[in-house]
Amino acid sequence: MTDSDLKFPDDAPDTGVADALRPLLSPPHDDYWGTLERAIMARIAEERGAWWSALGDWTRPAMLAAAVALIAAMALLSKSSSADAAIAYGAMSEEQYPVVESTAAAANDPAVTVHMLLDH
Amino acid sequence: MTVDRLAEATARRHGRSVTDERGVGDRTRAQRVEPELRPDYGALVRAARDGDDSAFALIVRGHQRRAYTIARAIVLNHEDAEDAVQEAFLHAYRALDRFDPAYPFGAWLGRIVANAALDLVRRRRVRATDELSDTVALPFRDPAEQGELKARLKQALAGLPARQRAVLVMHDVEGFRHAEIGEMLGMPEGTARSDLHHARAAMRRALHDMRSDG
Repeated sequence: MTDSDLKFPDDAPDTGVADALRPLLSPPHDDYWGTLERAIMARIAEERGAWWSALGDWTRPAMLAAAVALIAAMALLSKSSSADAAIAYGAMSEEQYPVVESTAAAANDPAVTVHMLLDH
Repeated sequence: MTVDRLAEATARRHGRSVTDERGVGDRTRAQRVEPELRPDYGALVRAARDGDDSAFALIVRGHQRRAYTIARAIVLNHEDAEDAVQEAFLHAYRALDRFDPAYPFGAWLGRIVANAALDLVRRRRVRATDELSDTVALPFRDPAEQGELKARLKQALAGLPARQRAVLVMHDVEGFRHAEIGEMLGMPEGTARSDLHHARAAMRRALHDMRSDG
């Protein structure tokens, strides 16, 4: 059995005490409730405003950081593709002109060198 | 369902306009409002969660009187009661996501209000007894008698610990049960009973002394 199951003499509200208390707990004027409601809703609106402005304060630096990151990424990408192009070009050159190696190898022979100069 | 339709449905069920759920002390006289006559606070909370401020305004309208009475009993003066009520509703607004619809909204809010008011008392411990309302007449014709009674009641009320004042008002003025009060104030039901007993005794003494003197 809990306290809730028991009936105590104090369970019923004391109307004498309640009637005496009520005037002491009343707001300054009867039309106060509209004022209080507006004040509360203004606080709520303020709260929302603060949330949005906090977001706004963070938005600008965030946008700037995103832009910097984007530029850096594009620069890296561009640099990376230039390097790729150079490597590809180099690879193609090596394949297309294998004679260069043999030319270099034959550079010690003066007759060959003279012949090459005359050709060009 | 839109908030307007929700409000209309609630008003139809009440047979009146959508205003306060009940005035100060109405719950004592009429005891509990039947559940089917209560506004659908679960739906209002859902709408408010979704960002509908008009739904939250209806919640405020329905609960501000009781919130004010509880806060006023704890902090004793109008300005602090107003601060506590505003803080409590703001806190409730931020915590709407955590509200369990299975739990009575009034008791959930009551706990928030009581905590906000008790926090204020702990922080300030000032502006205590002198500022209880002087604007509403007590049921005595003789102004001198009224003034004397009011002074004694103020003194008796201010002499109680804040928690006992809260228990007294929640039970006798707002009609909450001991178990609900215990839950709202974070204490056992038996402690709520004991607090009520002591608080009532003090108030009855003040009233009795006045009648005996007369």
